[in-house]
Order: sequence, then C-alpha cells, then structure tokens
Amino acid sequence: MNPRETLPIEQNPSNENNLLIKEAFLRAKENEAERRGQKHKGKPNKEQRVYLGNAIADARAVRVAPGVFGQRTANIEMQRDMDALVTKDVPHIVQTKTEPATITETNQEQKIMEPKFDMKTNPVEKPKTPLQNYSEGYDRWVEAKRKAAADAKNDPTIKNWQDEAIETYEKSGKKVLDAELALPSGSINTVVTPSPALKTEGFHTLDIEQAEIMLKAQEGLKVADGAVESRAENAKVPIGFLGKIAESYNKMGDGLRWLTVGALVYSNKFAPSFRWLMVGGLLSAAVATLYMSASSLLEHASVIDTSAALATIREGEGVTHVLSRQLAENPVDFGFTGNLNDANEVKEWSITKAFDIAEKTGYADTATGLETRVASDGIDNVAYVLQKGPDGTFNVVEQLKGDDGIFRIQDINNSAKNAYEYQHGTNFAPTTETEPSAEAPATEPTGFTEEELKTWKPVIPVDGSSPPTNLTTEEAPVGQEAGNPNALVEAGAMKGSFQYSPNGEVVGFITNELGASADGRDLLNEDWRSTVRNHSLNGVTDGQNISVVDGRASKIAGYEQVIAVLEQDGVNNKPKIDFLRDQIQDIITKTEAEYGNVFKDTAGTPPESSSHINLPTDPQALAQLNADAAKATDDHIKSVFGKAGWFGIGADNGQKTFEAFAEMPVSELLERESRIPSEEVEKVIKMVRDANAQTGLPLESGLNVRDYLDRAAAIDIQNYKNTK
Amino acid sequence: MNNQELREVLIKELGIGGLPKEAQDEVVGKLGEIILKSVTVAIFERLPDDARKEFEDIGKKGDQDMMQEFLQRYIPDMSELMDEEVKRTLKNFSEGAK
Repeated sequence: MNPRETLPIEQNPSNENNLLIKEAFLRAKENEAERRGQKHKGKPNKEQRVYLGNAIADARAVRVAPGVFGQRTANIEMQRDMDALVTKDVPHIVQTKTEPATITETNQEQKIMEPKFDMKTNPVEKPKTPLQNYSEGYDRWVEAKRKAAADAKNDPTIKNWQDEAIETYEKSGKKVLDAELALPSGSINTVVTPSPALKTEGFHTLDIEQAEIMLKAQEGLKVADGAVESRAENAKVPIGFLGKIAESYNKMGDGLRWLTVGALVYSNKFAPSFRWLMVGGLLSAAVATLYMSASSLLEHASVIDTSAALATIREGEGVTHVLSRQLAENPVDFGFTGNLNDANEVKEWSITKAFDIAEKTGYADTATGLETRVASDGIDNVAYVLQKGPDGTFNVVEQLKGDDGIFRIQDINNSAKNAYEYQHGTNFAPTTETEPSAEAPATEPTGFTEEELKTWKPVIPVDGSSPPTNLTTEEAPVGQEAGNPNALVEAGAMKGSFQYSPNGEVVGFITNELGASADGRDLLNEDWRSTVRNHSLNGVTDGQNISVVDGRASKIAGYEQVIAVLEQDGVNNKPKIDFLRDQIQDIITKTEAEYGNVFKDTAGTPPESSSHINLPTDPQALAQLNADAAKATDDHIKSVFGKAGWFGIGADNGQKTFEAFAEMPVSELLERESRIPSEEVEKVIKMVRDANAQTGLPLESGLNVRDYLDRAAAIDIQNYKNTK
Repeated sequence: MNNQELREVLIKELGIGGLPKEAQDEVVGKLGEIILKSVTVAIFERLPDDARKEFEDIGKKGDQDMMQEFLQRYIPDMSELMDEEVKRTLKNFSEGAK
C-alpha cells in the first residue's frame, strides 16, 4: 500500500494520544474549512488529507513569523523566539506529552518540545486567526529584540568585533589612526537586531592578523556605505527609507540574508524573477513600514518566500529532488551534524534524508518502488515545501503558483493533483546484482530505505541491457592501464569509478550521483518535446516521456564531462573513454528508437577540435613532468601576484592570495568574470585564459584552478620537449 | 549554488577567510545591506519626479503586485541595474579595504 494513503496519525488508531491529536487536527481543519467556506466531516479522504496538511501547516505557522520576517526554514532563530512568545501567550497552543502528529524525527527530540493543539484544554475557545497571532507574536518579538539591543550596550556578553579588532591591534603597539571607525551610516546604526553570533559564548578572540583584516574590512564597508549615503541625498531618497530597507533586510534569518546577497552578486545563478522578488519585496516592505501598520505589513511581507523558490519542481524532477535541494540549502537547520565543509557529505546526507522523508510522508514507497513525480503541467507551478517543526518533525506542504506568480498554500483536490502528479515506478538497484530498469535512468533511484541508499550503486550499461556480471572494482587488473583504476573520477556534478571484467575489460561505470548530473538540453533538438509527444507510448503521459528523454540527455552530458576529464588525465584512458562513448551511442540509439529523432546529429560525437595531449605513459616520467609543472605554476603565481596579499597584509608571497582561488572550479571562476571588480580575480582569470590559449586545454574540463594550471603547464612543458 | 557555497565563494573573494565565522557573517551581512541600499538609491535616481508620488501612494496601499508592476514600468532593466550597483559597491569596498 502506498503510505500516502494513510497519514501517520491514522496508523495506530488504538493509540489514545494519536486519537487525541487526530481530533485536534480535525478541529483545526474544520476551523480552516470554515474560514474557506467549506466543511469536511468524517474520515478524511485523500483530498481532505491534503487539505488537512494545509491546516496543519497553517496551525504551525501560528508559531512562526511569515515571509520576510521569518522564513519557515531559514529563520530558525526567529522561529524559536516566536515559539517561545506565542506558545506562552496563545491559549490554544500548549505543551503536551502526546506523540507528534507528523513524522517523528527522534524520540529524544520529542521529549524536548512537543507543542500541540489540546482540545481538552480549550475545547470551546475559538482560536485566533493566524494573522492575529502573526501580528501579536511579531510585535512581541520586535519588542524583545529592541530590549535585547538596548541591553546589549551594557551587556558584557555581547561583543563588538570592531572594538575587539581595535583593541587587539593597538595591544600590538600599533595605533588605529581613525578612532571613528564605527560605521557612519545612520541606517546601519538604526538596526535593532543584534546578531546572536556576537555573543561571547564560543567567542573567538581575534589575533593581530585577524584584527587587521577586520579593520580593513570595516573600512571597506565604511567607504561603500558612505558612497551610498551621499548618493541618497542627491537622489532625494525619503528620509528614513534606507533605514527601513536595512531594517527589513536585517530581520531576515542568516540563511535568507546569504541567499539575498548571493542573488544580488551572482546574477547568473539565480532567475531574474527571483532577484526581482527579493529587491521588490524588500522595497515594498520598506515603503509599507513608512505608512502601514505592522499587521498589514506582515500579510504583505509573506510574498518573499524563498522556500517556495527552492521547493519548486523543475523539469524531470520528483518530490525527492526538491526535498534534497531544500535540505542541502540549509543543512544545519534541518539537522545535519556532519562536516559542513564537505560538500559531498552534505549532499549525500540530503539525498538520504530526502528519501527518508519522502517515504514517511507518502511521496515514495519502498515496497512498491513508486515515487511521486510531477508532469509538465506542474513544472515551475507546484512546490513541495519542507518544514521542520521545533519538535523535530518533518512536514511537506504543497503550494501552487497563483496567477500573480506567487506560491501559496491552496486547496488542492485530487483531480487537480492528477493533472500534474503521477506515480513513477523504478526498479532501482540496491546492489550491482539487480538489473536496472529499462525505463528509468540508473541515476534516478527511488523508494530507498536509508540502509539501501547507503549501499546503492547504479551500474551502466543501463536502459535495457543487462548489467555486467563478475565485475570487480576492487581488484582491477594490474598493468591494464597506467592510472589507478579504482580512482574516483570527478567531472562537474558527476563522479564515479569504472568496473572491470576479470580479463581487464572496462564493463561498467559506477556513479553515486542521483538526479540530473548535467544539463543535456544542448544535445537535444529544439523541437524535441513535440517529437516526444508525437511518439507517446501506451498510456504513458507526455510528462513521463519528456522526463525520461531529458534525464538521458542529462546523463550523456555527464558522461561527456567524465570523458573530458579522462582526456586530460595524462594517462592512457582510451578504454574508459571508448566505453563511455559506446554507452552514449547506445543511449542515443535506444532513445530515438522509442521517442523519435530528439538528439542533434552532433550529440555524442567527439569534438574534432579537442586538444590532443601526448603525455608520457611511463609513471616515473609522468611524475617528474607533474613536479616540473607544479614548480612552473608556483613560479608563475609568484610572478603574477608578487608579494602583496589580498589586503596587503599577512602574506609573504603571492601564493597566499592565489590560494583563495586554487580549489575553485575553472567554470565558476569564469562565470564571475565581470561580476567581481577585483584585480586579483582578473589576474587569475587571465592566467587561466592564457593557459588555455597556450595549450588548448578545455576550460570545461571540470578541473579546479590549481589543477588546471598544473595540467596546462605539464602540457606546455611536454609540447616543448616534443618539439626539441 | 547553495548558501554554503555562496558563503565560501564570497568569503574568498572578499579576502576575509582568516576571520572567525561570526565576523565573516557580520561583514558579508553588512555588505549585502549596503548593496541593497545602493540598488534602492539607483532606483530613486531613475524615478522621474512625478513618479515619486505614485511610489508613495502604492506604498500606502501596501500592494505588493502594484509595486512590482510600478518598478518594472520605470526600471525595465532592473537586473542590469542590480549588476551595476553590485559592482559599484564591491569596488568601493575593495578600495576602502586596501
């Protein structure tokens, strides 16, 4: 049975607590229904359960601030404050020891905080509307923050980084020339919300070098802010308006602030509509605060909902994709306790967690292998917003995009959902012995248990052919190739390792990459969607077919990235490259047999202009070449950057400045060309472009900056030797 | 690009990698605030005088949709405007931090 057919609350009707909670939620649902002019009675059907989910979400929203003042997932700090304030003062929300009504994260977390509706305590009193509670809770929150800000002036537990920097700097015998380093901007100083990060708990005392960096950074902020303020006067910006902008911005949670800065700085990473929304929303909020009451403002401010932006289904995605994306976006908020600096660890955790949540919320079913996917009608129009309550429970709230482009929680009935949702079946392969499905790309498994996911490794060949048998990735034949056969190949978003038969033949490529690994749209003809629609198979929706083709194109693009890396690897990778090329051709052939001529004629064809690199195959000679190349790169970096550091401090040679870029992917470096007007960025970009011009080493190779320069140097040295 | 990646990239480019995380957050947070204000000033610089009254009227109504429509009408190239202001702010920051 698809678990979506039952809510957790209904799974154990004999449980008194569950019945109590069920009653409470049904009551909450009825209240919601009354407000919406509807009435539901009896056991909820599927439509009602969706509706019930909305009521639950709204009930939870009573305890958090909406929109700009409290993103459900981003502004955890404010949520906690609001929880404390509202839970304390709003009579129909009380602490109980009953089981949570939604998915339980851990028993331990249940014990910590389990706010629930308790209809026994307040069976008659009509709950306040969410807006009333938003408004009252928000006002209390602002008041508490203002008081905290006022107290902070005399609070020894609140540190000021600038004071700390000045103190440390002057203790070293130096003197800060400008004693008025405090930011002059009135708007900044009017911000009432002190950062909790400034608390002394765990406070890191600045050393002299850090103090210098901090002072210089503050000086940079001062100059930048001063320039804005002087322009504001000339532009006749209304008095206090910039202060309101700053206030609205600073009321955001840290996560949302980072997202805002990112959206502004990295235009190519964010949709224009999203950037518009951020700035337009903040402007509107700022204007409104000049003229409107807090309660009215709160209602309008909810337009800024980044969770919807992250949770929106894109083409070829299932619910697990968007859940994973939201988890990866705010890992700490959602309970990640691993190493945040390890992107792979965060990603793997987010995927595992996403399937776990999907399983528990009914969007995936291990038993049947079904996962909820979204067809073309729902793409960009439906969002599955992940929420984690203070009691550690997870919930998924569905939102639909309105005519105004804003995502909102709405009544969604079954017929409406059927227009865009469908159940996608995949015979995923928990081990290499299970034959992958012909229908689904092997990189898109569904219905995992957590344990299965940990061990899952899809194997190609896929798309219908049987996986190879008697494989080994542990004992690849010695001497079969110069490189390490078990080495993980990383290329862009895709990574994996090759498999070999006992006689050393490359027979498989294992990747743990889930979901689309690369954008393969460039490989498809412009009219590929209509071509697919004209080849509709028995009872299969267009959305499914389009997703399959899109997924296969994405896979080919991923393989192309792997091939690009292999071609630049400096060892004999021909068997691996040939294998992947064969796979690409098989995918194209099979796909076009099923769906028509969807791929461009050039798809899967090796580029004629790809650089040929004739590096030594002898390991000793190759090692020497790589060492020479590394030294050449070091010398080049020193010559480019001299002895100046980033701020001209704390650096004894140019290496330190360059280190900031060393591990950055080349593609990422080039994307921000013209974005950051920094002399250092321009220097590094010039180094990379010069290396490309000199050697022909593809910029799209997936290498980071340091590796790219080393590889180019090796090619250059070898080419020089070859011509002698 | 997620928040963590944004964070790492920005910190590298701003040259504040040596600072404690909390101090980094403060610098980037304030920089974002200044960028937003810079964008706001640029919008006002582009607004004709007779549009300011309309701007205030929309603000009084608190109509989010009208505000978006208003901005799109007067600032059709908002994305480019944002890019310019980001550049301007970061340039000023870099110069001040030298």
